[in-house]
Amino acid sequence: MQGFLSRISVVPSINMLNFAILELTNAMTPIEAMQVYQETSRTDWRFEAKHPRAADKVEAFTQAVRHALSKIVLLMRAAGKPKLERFVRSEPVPGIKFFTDGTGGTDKSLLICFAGNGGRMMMPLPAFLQHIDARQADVVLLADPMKQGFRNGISGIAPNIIALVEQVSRVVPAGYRDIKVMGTSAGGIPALLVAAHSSATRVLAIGAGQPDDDRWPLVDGLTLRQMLADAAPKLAGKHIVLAYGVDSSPDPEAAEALKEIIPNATPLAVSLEGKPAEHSFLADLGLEGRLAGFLADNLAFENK
Amino acid sequence: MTEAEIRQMLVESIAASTVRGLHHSGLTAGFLAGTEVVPFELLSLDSMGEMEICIAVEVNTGIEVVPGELQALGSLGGLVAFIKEHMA
Repeated sequence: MQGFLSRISVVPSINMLNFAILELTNAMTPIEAMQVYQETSRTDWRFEAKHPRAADKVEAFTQAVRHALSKIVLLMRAAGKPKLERFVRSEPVPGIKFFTDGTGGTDKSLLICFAGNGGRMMMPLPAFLQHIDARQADVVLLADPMKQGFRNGISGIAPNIIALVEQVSRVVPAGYRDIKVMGTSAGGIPALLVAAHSSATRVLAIGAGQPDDDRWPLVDGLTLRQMLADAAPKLAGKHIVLAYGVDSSPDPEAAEALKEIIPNATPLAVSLEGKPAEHSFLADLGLEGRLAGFLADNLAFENK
Repeated sequence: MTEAEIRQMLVESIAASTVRGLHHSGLTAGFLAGTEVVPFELLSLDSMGEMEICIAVEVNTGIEVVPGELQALGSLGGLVAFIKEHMA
């Protein structure tokens, strides 16, 4: 908690405050988020402005911090659980975060998550983790710090997507009952590729991109479409869901284009009850109390 | 920073954000050339996207535009004009 408060205290502006909160909540556990929320919700708590430009904005920054954290906690509470999931974070390899409750793996799944360009699974990490049962799964989170959708791997870990796939297969912990892979937005296609080259049994790609996206560089002379075509036979027999917001153009077309390459993949249109289901629909699904069930259905978790 | 550099900065910042609408709009080249204003409706901006653009503008230019003000500028072209005006 002191790390969070210390980091935000040095910002000069509301934008830099938002930046700090986004970064911090891309790594926090549910317990850490709740601790910070409770501390900053105290009536006598005020933003500690250490930057001269922020000195006359204490009240505005206090409210901004409370607003951001209250939205996260609202989404955490929407999971409908009486207790916080007891994930603890470690970083076995710089850039790859690992979350576990510390219990053994033989009866557990390993969920490998590829974040989108926001560095998150379409929502702050504490909210996402609160929707995962820590007794059923440990979580590996990969985010591309260059925000290029893993098209050039992850700086310092692997120089391209295929090298990243190999690296992930090497560094993920062993001994789990099964491995599941999930990717949101720019993390959707990497999730498919990693699943093909690992023992993963299930893939959930949400709002994945187009196989003909010309931003992808050639890797070993292969286009993205060719890499996916090479991966397709290895994905046969695996449970693959390509979910998309029903109101999010061009995600339905992207899912259909991916299905043409990966025949056993299942496109899944997701609607929301109260608003259009756009590209980043996952948080809204959570606010409707449907995210835990959605993850359970598509990743074969028990929804306790 | 020239207008061309501001436009380039915005394109690169948006490419590295969760905002997908510019890429899908096919208007990137026209925006860089100064022939397209790119209304925000085409970007499908959500609150996260607004924050990301405002953060990028401040990090790269030092100019503070906050999410509540961004939509009033109407378009990426409007944002370029705002930045130019405040850099002057």
